[in-house]
Amino acid sequence: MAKSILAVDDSASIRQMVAFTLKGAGYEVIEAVDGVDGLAKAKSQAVDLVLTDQNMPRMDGLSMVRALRLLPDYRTAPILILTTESGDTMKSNGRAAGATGWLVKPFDPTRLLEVVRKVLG
Amino acid sequence: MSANRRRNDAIFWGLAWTLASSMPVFWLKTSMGGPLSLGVLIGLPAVSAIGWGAILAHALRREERAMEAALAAAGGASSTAIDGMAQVMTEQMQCACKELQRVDDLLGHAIGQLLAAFTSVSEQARAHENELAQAAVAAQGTAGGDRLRAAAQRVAGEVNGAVTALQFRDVVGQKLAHVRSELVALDQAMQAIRDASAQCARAELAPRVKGLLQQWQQARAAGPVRQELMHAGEIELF
Repeated sequence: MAKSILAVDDSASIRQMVAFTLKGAGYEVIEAVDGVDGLAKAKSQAVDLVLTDQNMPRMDGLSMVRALRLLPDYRTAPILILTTESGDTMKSNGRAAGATGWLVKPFDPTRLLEVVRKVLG
Repeated sequence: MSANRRRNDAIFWGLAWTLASSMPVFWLKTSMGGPLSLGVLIGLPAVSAIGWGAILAHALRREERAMEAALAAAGGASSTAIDGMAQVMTEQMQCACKELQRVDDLLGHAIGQLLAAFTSVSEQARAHENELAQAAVAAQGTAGGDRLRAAAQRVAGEVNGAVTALQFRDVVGQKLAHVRSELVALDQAMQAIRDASAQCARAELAPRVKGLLQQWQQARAAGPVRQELMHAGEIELF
């Protein structure tokens, strides 16, 4: 059974590129448009990995990570932040919030797949 | 009235007073013939000095009033100048924001078309890549097999390059949003300066404006996007 990945980003183009890359590698991809949508979809269907943007309307990525970490299904699930932000402070905040890794956009599909495979074991 | 004129008036009236106050002394001297009393000798300069004092005090009051009028005029002029400059800057910033929004809209339209084309082409490219890879496996060990494998890798590389490049909309969009927020913050700072120029006394205006500019500088957030080129970003696993 294909592992499921929740891709959360307010940018349709990024969601499309992420979905294209991950689906091509055989993963099931669920898309969400912001943190609120992502949290709702994560609650309704347990996924194996969450890949989320940071700067989004309604709820940003780190707030969503903190909320997910409170849910039993996501206490240890890998959560990757995929963002344009590359500052050390933001990365530290991501680590403190419980993120598994930090990927700076634009992503290279090959490297993204390497990281996804690694964190999914 | 000019400062020279006010000074000349004061000297004229001072001399006139001195002359006028001396006249009774000369009259006394010529009519009485005797030596002048100590009271007269002391009183003459005293009366003269009092007159000069009154004239100088009056001249100083006139100078003060003239200076106050000049300062009020200058204060009003500087307030008007700041107000006008802030108005022009506000209009320019609003124009710049609108232009940035137009650029953003154009980018959105362009990326929409690019993504539609990519969706169509990428599926074909991926199918082509798979066919080449399968053919390369079938022809393994031959020169043709190596060529097919190289061709499959080239197609995969091109598709990956397109996926990376097509993310420019997000990167550029965030940069534009940051610039727009900077312009809005600058507009608000200019509005605060306009308000200060209308409300503050002239002496308080400069430090107030300096403080507002410092507040604006401190409130400025670092741009979220540091990428200069569309190279793939770094990855860090915690």
